Amino acid sequence: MSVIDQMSVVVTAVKQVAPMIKEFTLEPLEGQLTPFSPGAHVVVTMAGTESTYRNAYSLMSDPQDNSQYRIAVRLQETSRGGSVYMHQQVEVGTQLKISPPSNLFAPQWMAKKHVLFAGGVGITPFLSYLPALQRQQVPFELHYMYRSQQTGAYRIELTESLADRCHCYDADQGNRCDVSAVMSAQPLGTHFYICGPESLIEAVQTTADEMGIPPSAIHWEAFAGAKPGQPFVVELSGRGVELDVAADSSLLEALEAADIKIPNLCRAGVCGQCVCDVAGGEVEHRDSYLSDTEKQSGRVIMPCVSRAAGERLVLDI
Amino acid sequence: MQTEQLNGVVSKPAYSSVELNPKSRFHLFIAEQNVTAEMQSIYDECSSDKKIAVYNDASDTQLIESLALFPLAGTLYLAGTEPFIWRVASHARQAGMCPEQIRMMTPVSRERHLFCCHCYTVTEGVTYSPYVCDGCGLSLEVTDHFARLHSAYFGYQVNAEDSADMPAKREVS
Ligand code: FES
Repeated sequence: MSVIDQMSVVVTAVKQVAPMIKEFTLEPLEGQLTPFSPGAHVVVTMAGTESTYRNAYSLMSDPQDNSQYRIAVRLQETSRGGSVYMHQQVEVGTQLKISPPSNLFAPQWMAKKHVLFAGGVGITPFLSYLPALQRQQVPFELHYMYRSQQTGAYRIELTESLADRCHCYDADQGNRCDVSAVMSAQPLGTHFYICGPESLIEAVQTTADEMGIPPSAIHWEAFAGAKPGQPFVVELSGRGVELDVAADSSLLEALEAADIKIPNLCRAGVCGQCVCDVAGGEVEHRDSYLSDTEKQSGRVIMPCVSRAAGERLVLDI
Repeated sequence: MQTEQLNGVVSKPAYSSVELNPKSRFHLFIAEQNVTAEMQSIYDECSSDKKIAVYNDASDTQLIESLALFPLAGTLYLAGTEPFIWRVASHARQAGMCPEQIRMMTPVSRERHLFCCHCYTVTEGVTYSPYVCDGCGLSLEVTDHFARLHSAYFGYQVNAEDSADMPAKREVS
């Protein structure tokens, strides 16, 4: 697999779109950006003083607009630094490196109808869906759940432009979405998309299962990237090197800091690109890519999210 | 879908035994000409909302109509010849069904539809190869490349290089 080139962009606008969410407009330093498909994301590289962070953010601008990209970043309380960096260090004029767009969450173009469930900042990939779905004139519904004291960006614009196709639920006002009522009312050919916290994804999956809705009509993107854990030491058996992985760094980031390039697309344990062979030590699997059998074998790890279960891990690199 | 596994590099569907989908809210059974014993036993086992339909030479319009009120949480069971069940499946996919909602039973005969890549004619009832095309009269090699949208196998002229070179006739499974 080829190592993907980085593109240089400059921040041309920063907007506070909800109490915890900032929107960033990125323009190319030279030339044009590539158009992308709805649901695509880019990985933003942030060179912090202590370590380099790389986080994946959904593109929320119109996929056909190649003059700029827009992303929205929610400040994460338990962040390992990436979102704090974006919120505190990045301002108009800051230059950033981003990966070209890749997509693990594209709409199903054969669908007769699309039902979108967004939780909080999970609204972002759907913002790039909406222009495409409107151009295609296919029926859709957006169910947007948020807490207005933290999130809920763009709800006024969305309600205005989508009218009764947009349903808002503000948990801070006690409004909840009845997922099973929404799902039971849908016709054949409906596809369901979820972007939001694990609990929302599970709620939709469980409801679909109970109702007998086919699993391949359910699509989701978990936006949670790597979470911190215990520090550990990784030994690279092929190179005779040992590296320290700090509590708030992912294994992938530690490898990258040592100039070891590992292919990666999602940095969230879903795409399968970053898989590495394990030669020793126990793994704490945190990905949703490997099968249970692969996880039990202890022979492979997804370093973007997973870590050592003990103090030491040996990778066959 | 149980028919998606490939045997080697070919796209010939592989069928395995069909089971009732216990999660489904509605079950539609469609058979060509006769309800097979396998279909009958699944139908009898099914205690939720169900319907059975048997067709003799069904038109596409008839098939599309039979799927019109199919719900999101339904399962379709198909029995008959391979061209028939794939023709219904193709309408079902067009109507928005997901692969796992379409359960196909092992075809009742090994007769194939053969698509001629020279004149685009589909020849029916093919059981051996080479086979003479109904449209252009060329002898066609009957391959195992199956087009799911057209429910037919791909055929090409077997002796294009040398008209005297005609391979021995073999049965296709
Ligand atoms: S980068 Fe996608 S699974 Fe690790």
